[in-house]
Amino acid sequence: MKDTILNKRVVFVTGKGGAGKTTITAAMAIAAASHNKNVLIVETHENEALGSHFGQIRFTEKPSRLDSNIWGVRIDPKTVLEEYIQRYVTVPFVAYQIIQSRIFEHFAVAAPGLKEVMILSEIWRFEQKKNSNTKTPLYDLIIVDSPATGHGLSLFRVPSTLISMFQTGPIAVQTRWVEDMLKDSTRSCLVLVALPEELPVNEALEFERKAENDLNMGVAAIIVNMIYPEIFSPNEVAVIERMDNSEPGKKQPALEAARRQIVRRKVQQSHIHRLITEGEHPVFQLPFYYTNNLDQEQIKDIAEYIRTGLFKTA
Amino acid sequence: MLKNIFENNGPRIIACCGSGGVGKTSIAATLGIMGTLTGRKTLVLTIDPAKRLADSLGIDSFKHEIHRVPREKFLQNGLEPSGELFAMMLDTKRTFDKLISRYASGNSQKKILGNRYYQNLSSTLAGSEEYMAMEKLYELYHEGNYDLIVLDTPPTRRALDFLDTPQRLMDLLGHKYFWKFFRPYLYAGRFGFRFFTLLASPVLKSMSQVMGTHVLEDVAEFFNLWDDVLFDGFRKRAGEVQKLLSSSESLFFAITSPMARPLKEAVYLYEKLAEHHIAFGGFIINRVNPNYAAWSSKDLTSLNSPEIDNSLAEKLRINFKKHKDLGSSDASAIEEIKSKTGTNILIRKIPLFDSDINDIPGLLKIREHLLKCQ
Repeated sequence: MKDTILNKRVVFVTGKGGAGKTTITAAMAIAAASHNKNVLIVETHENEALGSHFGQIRFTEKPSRLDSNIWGVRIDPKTVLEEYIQRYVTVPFVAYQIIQSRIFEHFAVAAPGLKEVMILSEIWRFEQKKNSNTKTPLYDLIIVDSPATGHGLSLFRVPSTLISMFQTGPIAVQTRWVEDMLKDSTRSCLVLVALPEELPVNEALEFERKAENDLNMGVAAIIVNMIYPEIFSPNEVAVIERMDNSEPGKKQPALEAARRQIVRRKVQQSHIHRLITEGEHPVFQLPFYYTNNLDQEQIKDIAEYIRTGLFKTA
Repeated sequence: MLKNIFENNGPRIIACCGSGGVGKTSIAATLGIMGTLTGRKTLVLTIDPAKRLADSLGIDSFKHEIHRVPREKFLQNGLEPSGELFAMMLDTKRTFDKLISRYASGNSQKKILGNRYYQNLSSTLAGSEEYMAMEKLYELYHEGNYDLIVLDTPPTRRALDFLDTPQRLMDLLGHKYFWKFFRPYLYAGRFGFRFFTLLASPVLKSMSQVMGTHVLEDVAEFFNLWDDVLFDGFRKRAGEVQKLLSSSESLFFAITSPMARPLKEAVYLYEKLAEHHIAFGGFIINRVNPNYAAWSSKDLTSLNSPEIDNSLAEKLRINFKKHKDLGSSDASAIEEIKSKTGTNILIRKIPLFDSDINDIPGLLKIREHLLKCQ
């Protein structure tokens, strides 16, 4: 079996804020669903915009069906921790007291990495979930709209830190399972989303290095989003540049717009080139739609790009 | 008028808030230059300086110390500032440690700084980075070495978390709750308490089974120390920081791009500032595309040059339509801000430039647009 994104169980979509992680998570789900996969998309308490792509305000804390084979869920680490306590503390009254106590609040809010590990172990549980009749996985592919890269890195780093901290007890055991899932590149992978600009490309390159050296996680692809498409041929570019220069002061809006298009594309292409040459992973490109708010049709369009492009190569 | 804020009776602190990736650092640097040019000794306190911008300002290593931007950098760009410009990078962890050192000394200081719970708390508590930025700001303000401090705040999803953070820290660490829980089990050994006493509580015992004993020990030690040495000092300090931010010495700007999400954050910031009675300077909307609304496709008939064939003319029309859509998408986003905040709020649009801004000439272009009456 080919080692592609579609054959993984969990995909973490991450990248710099504003690069379009949420949109790409939604589009990837649509694309995977069209391959007859049962897809679960996950948003965390910090990213709550996925629902809007499926006509919801926010997802619920239990998976709910969004489309024939797409489910959505929101993970709130505090709820997961409460469930944990209830599971492991067998005396219900004591469990209740813990959850109600102030000291529990300390853990839920501030305990180092607990929040992150709760998110990850909930994802792990979804990965483990089996259909009770067929005994096959309930969700073929779980796509996670992960926190922005700065925070994303700390999310994935947490298991190893936490194992050393907790050492024993159910959370330590659970965390080891999570770590196994993250480091097994046949089960999980990262997809980085970047914009074709200087700082985002720098950040993507840095994250790419850290993912492999520091996190031991596999990067399946880097998606470059919002790329100005090629509209004018090189000859036409030359014509436009000549015209624009020859008539100073007399601004023709169409020529002005053409000039912007050409300049932006050129700058973007140089950053994409940098990502391709300096990066080590397949770079997959998505077009810009000349808007601040994508509509349903455009998301479907992106899904089609992912289905016919990304899923074929990475 | 944006110019007025740099006059002598203007604020001594200008904070730039907003989501990541909208160009906050360039805006903060520009405001810093503007302060310098109006004769003020200005410090820009930044979180994550772009290397090329730092290079072009003549700052090579950006760690921990305050760096002066050499006067030649201004002169090279035809500027003769009557003030001075300094820059500093914020280090959250160091600031938190320094705060601890202020109130705790000797052995207890050492114990706190070495406590694993503290080490993680100081870097992971939501909002702690933002709060430490404010803490540093307060410290620098009180040292009184600068006429103006421009703060480039950390990119947060909820840009104003830091306003709630002191309260949250106080709630979290407040001794009432702590004592209620731990006291009965702790007092046995004020000097080196025994952990097994903790386990006398069924709740704590169960928790330690789930969490692991180490973690509870760390927490117990931290809270014990916190309560003894830090609580009062920290509370007082948090109150003073809040007071400074809501005084007339401080002015906040919301920096955003026309993209839907950063814009939503900016409006949230505006509302939250109002709630906390903090002075709001206005919205600075960066990376705005030109608005071609005034032109219609009729204006494109003048594309009759011998060099433009039908196919190119058609492409020019298609391309124009795309850019016109983009411009109006930006314009309607900005209109939305106006409808949500009223007309007397300052809004400054900075165009999306052809290339990234990472030098003084670039910052001067931003300045030009900040000063423009729009």
